[in-house]
Amino acid sequence: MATATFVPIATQTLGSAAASITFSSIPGTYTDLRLVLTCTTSVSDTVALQFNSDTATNYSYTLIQGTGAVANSGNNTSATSAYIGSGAPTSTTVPGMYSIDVFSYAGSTNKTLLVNAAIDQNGSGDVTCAVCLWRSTSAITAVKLLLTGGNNFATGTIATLFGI
Amino acid sequence: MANPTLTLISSQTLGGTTASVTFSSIPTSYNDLKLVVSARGDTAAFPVAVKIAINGDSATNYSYTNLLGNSSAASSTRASSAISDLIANMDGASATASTFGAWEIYIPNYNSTGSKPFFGIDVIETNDTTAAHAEIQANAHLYRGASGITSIVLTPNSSNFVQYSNFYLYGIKNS
Repeated sequence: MATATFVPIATQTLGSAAASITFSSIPGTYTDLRLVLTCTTSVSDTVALQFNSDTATNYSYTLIQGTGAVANSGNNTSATSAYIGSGAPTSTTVPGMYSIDVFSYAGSTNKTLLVNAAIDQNGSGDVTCAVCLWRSTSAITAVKLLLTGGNNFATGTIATLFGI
Repeated sequence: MANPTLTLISSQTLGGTTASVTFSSIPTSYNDLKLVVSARGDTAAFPVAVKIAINGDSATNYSYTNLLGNSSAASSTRASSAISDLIANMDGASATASTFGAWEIYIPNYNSTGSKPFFGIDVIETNDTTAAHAEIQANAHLYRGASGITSIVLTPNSSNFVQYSNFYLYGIKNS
């Protein structure tokens, strides 16, 4: 029998607004992780991610983004979190979705992430692809999703962590 | 131990030219859907866009924002309140023979009765020096229909899919 893959490790659906969503005690038994987030927020904000409670400047990223009018690219180095997507939607009825692949998360090398964000709001919003780096040789055992402006994820936000 | 959940719901490999591909009676027993496609069209154009219709809905419930790279400067466009969604591009008859476009579409929370955002990426590589005869495209899609997704119809913007085009629909559970 083929090896089981794409296994849900945990899912969280917010029953009330929350400033962050954390997955902890992540087992080291998979090769990669995929995190899928569908969310709205009360105030437009940037979605970000931290590993293992690391708030030091160990993150960097490069992104390409389409706004519906122009394409642009940017980067940031020595950041305190990994960039997941800008402009988390403030509509309570039109969420945005984000998928984050974390490669070799249990290994002893620095960790690379591939991020896809779909935030179309029927006339506004964007699509973003990003590559992020967490400069740590520690295995990832905890993932925290947050909004860099300190705002809340809205009720009904869903986050699922898969092991692959 | 949690259960593995990436399950093939249905697949289609075309035996000849086909005007559209339908996935119907999509079960509600999953949380997310993943659509994987390798496809080519038979119209003499490049690229050939493919439309998606969800639940037979032809009202103005579709929108998308795209990001395109085709060997020149990257660009971005959008469509709002559209009657169908251009889900991806594929090779047409003007492209190098026997080359197919590849897509992956991820639709989270497809049973939601609210608006459903989803992400797609599609690629066409043809080893062709003709300007813009290869591309990579990322798309943010939004379907504002008020029902869970139970059917998907994929239709080329003109003419047909060709033989050997492949379509795979997977279901994913989150628990």
